[in-house]
Amino acid sequence: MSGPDGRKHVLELRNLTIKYYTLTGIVHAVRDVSLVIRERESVCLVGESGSGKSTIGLAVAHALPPNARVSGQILFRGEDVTRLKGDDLSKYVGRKVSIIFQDPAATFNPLFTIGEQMGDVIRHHRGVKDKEEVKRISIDLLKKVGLPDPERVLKSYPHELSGGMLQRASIAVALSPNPELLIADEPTTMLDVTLQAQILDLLTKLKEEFGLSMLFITHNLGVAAEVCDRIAVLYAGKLLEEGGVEDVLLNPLHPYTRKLLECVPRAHSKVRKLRHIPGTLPDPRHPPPGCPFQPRCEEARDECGKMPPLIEVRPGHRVACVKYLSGGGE
Amino acid sequence: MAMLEVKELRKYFPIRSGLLGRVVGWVKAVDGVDINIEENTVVALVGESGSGKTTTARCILKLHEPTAGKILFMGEDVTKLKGRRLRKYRRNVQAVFQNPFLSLNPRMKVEDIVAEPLKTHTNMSRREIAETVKDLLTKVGLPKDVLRRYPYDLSGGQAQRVAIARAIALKPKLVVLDEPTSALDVSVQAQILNLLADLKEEMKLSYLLITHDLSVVRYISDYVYVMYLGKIVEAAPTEELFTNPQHPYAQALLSAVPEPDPRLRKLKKRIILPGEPPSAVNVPPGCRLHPRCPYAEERCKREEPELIDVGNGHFVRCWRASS
Amino acid sequence: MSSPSELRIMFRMIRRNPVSMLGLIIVVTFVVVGLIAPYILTRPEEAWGIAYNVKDRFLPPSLQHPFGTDEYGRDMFNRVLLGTRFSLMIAVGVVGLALLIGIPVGLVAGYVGGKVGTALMRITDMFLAFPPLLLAIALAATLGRGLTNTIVALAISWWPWYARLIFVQVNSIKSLPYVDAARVMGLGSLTIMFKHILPNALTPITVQAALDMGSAILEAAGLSFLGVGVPPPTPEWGLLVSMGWQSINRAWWISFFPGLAIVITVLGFNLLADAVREAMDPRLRKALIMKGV
Repeated sequence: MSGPDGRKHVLELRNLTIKYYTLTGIVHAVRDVSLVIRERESVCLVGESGSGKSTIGLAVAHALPPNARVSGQILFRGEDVTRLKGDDLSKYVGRKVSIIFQDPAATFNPLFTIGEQMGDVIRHHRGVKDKEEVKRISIDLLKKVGLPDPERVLKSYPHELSGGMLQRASIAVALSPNPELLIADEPTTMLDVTLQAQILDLLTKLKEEFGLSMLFITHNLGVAAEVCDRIAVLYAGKLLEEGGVEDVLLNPLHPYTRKLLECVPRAHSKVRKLRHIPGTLPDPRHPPPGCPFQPRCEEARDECGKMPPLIEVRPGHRVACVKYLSGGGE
Repeated sequence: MAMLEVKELRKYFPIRSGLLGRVVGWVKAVDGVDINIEENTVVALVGESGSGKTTTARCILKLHEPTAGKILFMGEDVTKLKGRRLRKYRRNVQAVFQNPFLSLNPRMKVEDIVAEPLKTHTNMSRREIAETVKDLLTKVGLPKDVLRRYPYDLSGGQAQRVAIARAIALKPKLVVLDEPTSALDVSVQAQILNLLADLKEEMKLSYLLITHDLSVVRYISDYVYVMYLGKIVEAAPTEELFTNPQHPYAQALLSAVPEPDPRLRKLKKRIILPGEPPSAVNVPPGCRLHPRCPYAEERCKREEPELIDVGNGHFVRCWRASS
Repeated sequence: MSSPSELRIMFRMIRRNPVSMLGLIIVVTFVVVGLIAPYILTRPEEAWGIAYNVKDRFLPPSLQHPFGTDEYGRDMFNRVLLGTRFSLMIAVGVVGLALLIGIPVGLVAGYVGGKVGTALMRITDMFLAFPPLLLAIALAATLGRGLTNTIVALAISWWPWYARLIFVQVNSIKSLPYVDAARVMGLGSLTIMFKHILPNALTPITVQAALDMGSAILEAAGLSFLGVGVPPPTPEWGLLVSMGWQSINRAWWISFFPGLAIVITVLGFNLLADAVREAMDPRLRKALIMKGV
């Protein structure tokens, strides 16, 4: 399948619904989310806790815990990968799709050096057997992620590297199988602000260089603006708005997106009075029917009791809000 | 004379090695810091990890004893105070920490948590305390039914409100806010920031805001100190700092903050500092930023600049500012 | 950190696993029987070892004597039943006394830290260096036989474990923000230790201690079996096993039933301990799949 500009779909989520079975009830983490990521496109999943953004990332990477139940479909280049197992699974995860985490220490086994772990990935997923070739590829990748002394890094253990260096190394590992899709789950949340800027720059550069698609997960709208082409706003498991990043941030259509932008303090402009959203996030075990934002929305009406579908209000900009259902426009 | 004056504060942590724990070096976490906080003002202390901002705050809260320097509160030297004589200071200087689920005792009910400072410092009767606790909860926007609950029954925002209620119970003059909203969801952060701003006006409080989040700084603070590797590198009134930062580190820090508004993003001048800050064990000679600074000259490598007054209450620790 | 709702979750997990349920049932039965034993004896004098019944010696298990009789003609069922009471007393006594000694040591060592803390923990380590059972045997032999002495000997060999557990807990708790908050509030060290740190440090310990009772019973039985624990005529299980040992060939039941009681009781505690450990594992808890919520 391909989009209007001819770029093919790399990832497609169709009616993805994910539940966690826990001892305190069923957590409805993701509810009927449909989304597309094209070639060389980076899409940001933005949301607060309970939005389901991390769950979606884990689902695509087949990294959900055993108590998760997935319904709907995840399509990779048109093929259904939702329920892959065995050999097929290992050809997909870690090879076509890579993931980097918030805590770079989670990517690495503390008992082995960076070089050994990268080598494993390169040998297994790229079939390279020659030791020298593996080393050459590893060093090349470490240079590409901006690590100054690649030989030393290869010989180092994870605890010997600083947080920033380790995160760069984890990006290098993620890129070593030459994936088509990179999932980044809050990769800069634990980093200082200047380091964050460096890593975001790096990811943008690498995306171009490697022709990657990216699924970037964050709660920070500024980070989304810096690194993504398209942005998808999630709330309580549902997709509320989706479109080009500039379009959504400059002309937010959904009341939640608008309120979210109003309540984020800014460093680059003077904000007189910060608006805030009254109320709290809904309990993911007992989601209210209809639009999840209704209890906190100033523009809520009766029709909000039934969740509206995503409607393309502007080219490439979709929103799920009763305000835009046929007739009732702004 | 400001309400709180910190003069030449230094805090060094010893590095021990070997069986006998010999001291082999020092981590110079705070290396000569001066801070002034007036009444009813919000002062922000900004920096990244290793800057020393948290250690400075902990010294002010007397959780650490300074290695050198003085802390004066209302003109009185409180640096070496201990035990009971510390009581007056404690009544007046309180704190709200980053993660309310860690800063509230999980085995205590909300009503006991908020009552504890009152029980410790006043002679109020049980009924008076109960009344005051109820008033405090209303003040921070919490319904009365949280009284009998435990912290883990509350949401992040509610728990942080309890922490705030506890901090203002004794009507302190200064509240140290250590990353008060970093652990909260975006939509809740604004609620708490507005609450803090309202309380400041209502109770004529001062805040010392410790954070790495510059956008929060710009929203609620009046004056900002920027720290790098244990020293203050720039200090200015908030708007002055954000519109006219002069120290390369402050400029880099500001330019690194991600911006949601695409129009403003294009206007941002990016200054990139290569590499990472060195550890506070091996402080570079001369200006601490020189190994990473794009404007470093010979002088910067040898001599450490003083804080230079560039007018308007704006101070910069950089040789370029003196020209 | 255990909260009330966590205990509830633990119970639910235990209820669902039949093996854990078995452990829970055994332990509860043990406690109940131990409490009411002296009042439900059918032949109390024989149980207490006061009476002898020479004509009923070495009778095999039958309806009249479900566990048979011993060399003095005493009904074994009654003796084992009463033995439950003594095992319970020993279990509670040993663990209780060990906690009483260990907690203050670990608390002070952890909170004060520095040289005092190190010194206290070195002393603790010294005790830990001895193989526990050998230490208990040596102490028991020195103190002489007797119920109290057995309890004391075992408690002395046990307290270091609790001291160490508390020390580790206190160490990690004292750097938590709510302790900082307490200091900033102006609370004194003692108040902080007992009001803020101790209650939070105790929770994992109390569960552990309750389950340790099984091991205490086993060790006490061992001591009595070796002759350095509880003296006759007290019907402590280990002692009963040892007394039946000489007649094992012609009257297997005299050692068998008290031995079985020991095995079942200790097994019950162990099963329960496993279940609790599983219940406290955060990943397992979150990942548990409920078939048909």
